[in-house]
Amino acid sequence: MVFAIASNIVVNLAWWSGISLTALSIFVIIFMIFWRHWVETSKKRNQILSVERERILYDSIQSEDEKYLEFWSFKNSKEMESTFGFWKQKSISSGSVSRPKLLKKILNYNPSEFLFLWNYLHESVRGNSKEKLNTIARSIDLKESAIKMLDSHLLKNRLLAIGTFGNLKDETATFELIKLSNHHDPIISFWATRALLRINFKTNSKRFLPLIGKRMDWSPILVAEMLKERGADEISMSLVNLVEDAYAEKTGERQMARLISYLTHAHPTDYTPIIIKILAETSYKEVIIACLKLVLTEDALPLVREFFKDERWQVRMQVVLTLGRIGHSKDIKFLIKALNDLDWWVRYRAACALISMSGMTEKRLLKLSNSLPNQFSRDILKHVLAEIRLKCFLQPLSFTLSK
Amino acid sequence: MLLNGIYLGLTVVSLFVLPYYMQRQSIHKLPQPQTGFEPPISLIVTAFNEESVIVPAIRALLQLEYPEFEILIVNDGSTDNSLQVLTEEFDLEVFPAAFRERIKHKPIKAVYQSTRYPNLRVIDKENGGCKADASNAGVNGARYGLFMPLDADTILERNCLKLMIQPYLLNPDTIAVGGTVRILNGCKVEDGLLTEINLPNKWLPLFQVLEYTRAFLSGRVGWNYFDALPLISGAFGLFKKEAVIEVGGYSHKSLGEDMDLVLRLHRHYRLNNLPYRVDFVVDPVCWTEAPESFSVLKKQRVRWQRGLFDCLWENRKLLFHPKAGLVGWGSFPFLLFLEGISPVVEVAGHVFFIVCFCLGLVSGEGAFSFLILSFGTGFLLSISSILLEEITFQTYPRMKHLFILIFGAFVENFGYRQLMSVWRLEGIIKWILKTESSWGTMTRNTSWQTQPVKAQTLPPIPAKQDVQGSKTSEKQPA
Repeated sequence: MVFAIASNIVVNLAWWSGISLTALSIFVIIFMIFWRHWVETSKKRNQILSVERERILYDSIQSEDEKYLEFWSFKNSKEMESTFGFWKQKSISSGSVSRPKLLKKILNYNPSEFLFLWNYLHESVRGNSKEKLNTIARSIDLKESAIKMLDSHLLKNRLLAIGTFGNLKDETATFELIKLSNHHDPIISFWATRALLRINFKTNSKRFLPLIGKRMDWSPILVAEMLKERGADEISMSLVNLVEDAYAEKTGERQMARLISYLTHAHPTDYTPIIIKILAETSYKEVIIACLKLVLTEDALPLVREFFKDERWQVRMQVVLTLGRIGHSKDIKFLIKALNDLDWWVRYRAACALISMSGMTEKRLLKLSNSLPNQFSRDILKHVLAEIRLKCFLQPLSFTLSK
Repeated sequence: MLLNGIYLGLTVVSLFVLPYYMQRQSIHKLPQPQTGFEPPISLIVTAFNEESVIVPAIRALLQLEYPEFEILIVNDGSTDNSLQVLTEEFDLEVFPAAFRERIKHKPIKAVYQSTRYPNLRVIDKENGGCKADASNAGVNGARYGLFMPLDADTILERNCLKLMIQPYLLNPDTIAVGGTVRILNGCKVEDGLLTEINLPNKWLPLFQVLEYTRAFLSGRVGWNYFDALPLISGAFGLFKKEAVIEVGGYSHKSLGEDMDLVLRLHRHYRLNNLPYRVDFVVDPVCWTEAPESFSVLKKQRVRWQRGLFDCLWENRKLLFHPKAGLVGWGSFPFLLFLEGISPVVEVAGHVFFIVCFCLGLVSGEGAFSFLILSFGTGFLLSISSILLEEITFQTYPRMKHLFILIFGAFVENFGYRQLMSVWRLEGIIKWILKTESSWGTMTRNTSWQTQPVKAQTLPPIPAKQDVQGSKTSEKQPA
């Protein structure tokens, strides 16, 4: 039995490994204590400095702007948010925020924090207020700070810098932004593309808008937000062209479906022809569903009805939804038939669609329910009727059963 | 030792992954309007005898920040006043729901709809004896394509749905997403919302805080980096309904139905070469109460270990399967050989060492060396998890909290870890012997809840049968 005698090399190894690991732990503990201490000291220092900032600002700003000072003396993000409402009001009312010297001091004190606040405001306010914010930014050379932060190793600072150029509509860093729009990180590439489109949509849209169809790693929410921001008048035709090109290039199903879904931000008159064309030709489930969601004209009804016998329940459900949206009395028979569908969701949506059809009163629906041969159909109709009654109860003023 | 070593490796991965992730998330503090692209979510709250916590929990859920969601409470044959309390508080009325049973569960007695909140429904069903049965009823009743199973005592942070949905938006192949679970003991909650974060003032929950930190910030983040996440907490995950139905829903057989579901999803998608992603996002947080007594904790750990072996046995096809990828060759063997069998080795090692020491076969120096090594790895593992917490969230705000956590990390090596190994070994023995499994009942302290629940004076429902609770789905951290 020599497996664990003190002289054994294994014991020595165990001893020194244990000691090393414990020492490493102690080192990490010391680091954490210093780290925590540093974080807490920074917070306290910020509080002290904020008092100092307040003093400087008090000297320079008129007394009626006392509330405005509070905004710059916040101690943490929560306080910042609570005083943020006032800042927004101030930025909207003319002349109250254009104090270049003071703002420059604040910017130099903590550029990252300033850029965050400036961008926060830019994303929150509308119209003329955005211009006012840009005037302030120009007066304090905000873009100089943004240029420095564009190469920051901190992702947050880089994004803030990219966002700043977009909001400022400043072309100084266009070359860098173009490079960043092809960045492998989806967040960086999206922010850069959005900034480029904000800077000059007309010039940059041809080159950079197609990225929304190619970059599947971009969040569709962010893309939708970007498109919404531009407005249908500006992007409608560009989007339609993009879908046409993608369809001609036989883009993959998922990519195509996502691209089509962005057409909700375009004018229906612009996108309807291509939607009908795709619907008539494609067999991809996701693409069909995306197209059906956009059908708004009765001309497409015969085409829509053709999908009623599709073997995929998701397609049938979308057909039923579309009929509920644009169908007429002729489609009631389809919807009654759909009440017998094997899938619950198709039955449910068919019942909802039936109720929304013109001339469908509660009395008529109850009569229909009693005449249905299938228990499933009767149950689903009762279910939807109960939901409608509940809705009536919750919204007593405006709701009526028939459309 | 090896288990701790692998955990240390995962911690190192997390040390690289988390700071970058935190920076990405910090930019989300900029205003982001809702665009209507966010898919709606069904929140399924399973409840068995939860009258003391259910109302504030639901009120808190109603305040979640998300464009469209429904709350579906599954009353799993409660014998207390749960249903009355809910009816009183939310004006419930019987609803003629066309209920579809796509996965099996005990019969539904009635479906109720709140006349005050259109997105609140209650499914009243017969007791199924396990949480899986109630969850399956919830999955069947859920209206939306994504669902989140929750427990009645779970406290969610208000923005958690917005964060949990991100992986689904970025990758349509995502079928399940998990978030971080933290310990509620010591915190203060008002009307279902967390108002003050604090550490527990008792040893057992404090040790569990460390365990959860290790499991979520090191283990989950690390495995997720390798796309081999083996577990999503049963009470805090967001699942694609069709995927769950495709694999047959929650298993009634397994005591670890949450892990079993995730492993079955892996098995189904990997072995059939289907594209999918099981993801983990670290910042959506849910808070839950941890056991404070030895007896409840022991039951929990024994059950978890049995549940672990149930899941591993049921999904054994995954082990070293050529198509199983890093799940079959990484996380599954990790669960089996290290999480599963390690208690046997640990306890046997301890006993063997003590016996040898008593018989004079091991010198004092030798015994001390191995003790130091065992302590060193365990301590470093806990300390590195606290480090992750410090450089990312700093959830516990005071310096005092940091010292308490460090002290806890030191103390847990002397007795607590060994005790856990013994209980887990008991779980293994019971699994082998197939002794009758039980969910037991979780004793809720609820001292964190500052508002007493009204309507407690309502008369109780007469118990129809002696039913076994489906509750106690404490969130397994490992």
